[in-house]
Amino acid sequence: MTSLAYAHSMERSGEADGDLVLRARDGDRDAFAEIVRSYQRRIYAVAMRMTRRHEVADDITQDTFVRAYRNLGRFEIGRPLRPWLTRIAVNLAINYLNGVAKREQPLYTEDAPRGPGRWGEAPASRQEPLDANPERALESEELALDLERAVSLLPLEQRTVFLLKVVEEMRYEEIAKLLGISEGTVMSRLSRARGRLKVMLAAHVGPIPKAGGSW
Amino acid sequence: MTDCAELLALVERLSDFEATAAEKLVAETHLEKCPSCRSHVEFLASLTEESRSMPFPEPPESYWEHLPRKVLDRIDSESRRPSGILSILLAPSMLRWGALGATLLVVTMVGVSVLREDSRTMAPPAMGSLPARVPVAEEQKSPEAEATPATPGSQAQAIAEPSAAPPMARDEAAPAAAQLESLPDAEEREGASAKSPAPAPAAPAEMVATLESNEGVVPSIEKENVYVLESDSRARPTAVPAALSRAVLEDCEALRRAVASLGARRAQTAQTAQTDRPDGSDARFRLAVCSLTSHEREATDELRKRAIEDSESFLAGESEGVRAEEIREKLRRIKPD
Repeated sequence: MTSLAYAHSMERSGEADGDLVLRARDGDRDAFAEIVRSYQRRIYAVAMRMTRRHEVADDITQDTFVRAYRNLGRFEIGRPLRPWLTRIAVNLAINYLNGVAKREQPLYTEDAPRGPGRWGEAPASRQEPLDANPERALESEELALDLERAVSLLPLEQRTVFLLKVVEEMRYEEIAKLLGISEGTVMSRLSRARGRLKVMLAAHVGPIPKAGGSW
Repeated sequence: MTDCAELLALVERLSDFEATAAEKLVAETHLEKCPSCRSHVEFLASLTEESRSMPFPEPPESYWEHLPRKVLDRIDSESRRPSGILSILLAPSMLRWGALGATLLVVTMVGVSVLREDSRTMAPPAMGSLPARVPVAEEQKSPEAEATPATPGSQAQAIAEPSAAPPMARDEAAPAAAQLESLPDAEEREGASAKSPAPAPAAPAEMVATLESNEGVVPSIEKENVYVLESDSRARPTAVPAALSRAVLEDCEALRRAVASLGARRAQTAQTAQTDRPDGSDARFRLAVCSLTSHEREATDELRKRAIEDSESFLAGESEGVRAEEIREKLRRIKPD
């Protein structure tokens, strides 16, 4: 399992990042390789969670660092690299999802492998999208227990906002700017995503509260 | 309870650490007396924690060991590639157009030489039978060229190749696509030189790599979103894909300046904004395509913002038609809403 805790442990302060960036700008290849080593797991995780395909996540991870290298001159020294790299990766993933993936098959209809799965394992058979039949999904204990699959079944726009907020810990404002939508839209998508996950994970979290009746 | 429904957004903002001090006070006050909302907050906290440790298939350790090297190799290989206009010219798509252009050029030259051979055999022109009007290419010859006496052969060549000089002479770096665009069909050239002594007017260089004016667009082709550039109204037009003919050749910033000055120039001549339509929609369209293409090449925040602005600016003036659909589709990819 790829551990975000491990990825965090490899990351540095803005000051240390700045030193590496300055050296890389001067042509120090080892410095840039060190940057890649430090953030590759984090960036791959972002791409993988959004696209759910290793080959795509691999491309996005490499593209992210190549673009970062080309734009090192624009990086503001003193700030941490992670948000900057994450933004590049998220942009690439969104471009991919809005383009190729949408034309092929909506990713959120895919039946993801259970749990961490095995390296190179192909996705299991497809199943009906949850939003087409929420009742049936609710009855599926297997689905309800699987957070990863539940997230993968979210509509693209909700999944993107959810991952950026909850996993990448970005602020509403940052997400709105990144996706070109209003903060209000970010909040409503996030709320809908959480509401949907709550329904899907009902068996896991217990009965859905009735109070309020709206969620 | 209406309170819960109304306060849901506030409670979630609190969970996300995005609530203001006032919102925090209101939400916490509500949570104290509402077990249902407290349960929801607990669910959100648990969901966040679980999501952050959400697993996925892990690549082998060797993947992480090799990734930095792969990235550096890609950077190296890109830095070895030619940059700027040269990289555009050498891009696979451009090479395909270049090969096609070269083929057409060879066919044209063979056609012209056959025609010249026929002309000499059947009806050799008289020494004094100059064309009624000198072609633009001839008018713009250098003083040295004017001083050289014209020969029958050179006259025939001037007539047969009326538009050969201006586009390439003005921009030696004009890419293969532009060359292709400026090439009249060999058969039509033959017809022009054989049937009429009056040469066709040469295509202005500005027309190369720009959209043609309304009269130059063949409606049936326009429907297929292919734009036409012709150097002779009698010639069969040569079509190239719109994106190829513009986005790769133009400087978005230059286009942006041209669009910005449209208002001031609108009252002037028909030459405003490079053979633009009077409302400036052509220039805005080219700018939108240019910006979108730039963003496709490099998905930065700034390029995305510009692509959205330029696309919306074009769509504000032209919301229907093939071009609007093209821009709208590209815009949707980067701005789903």
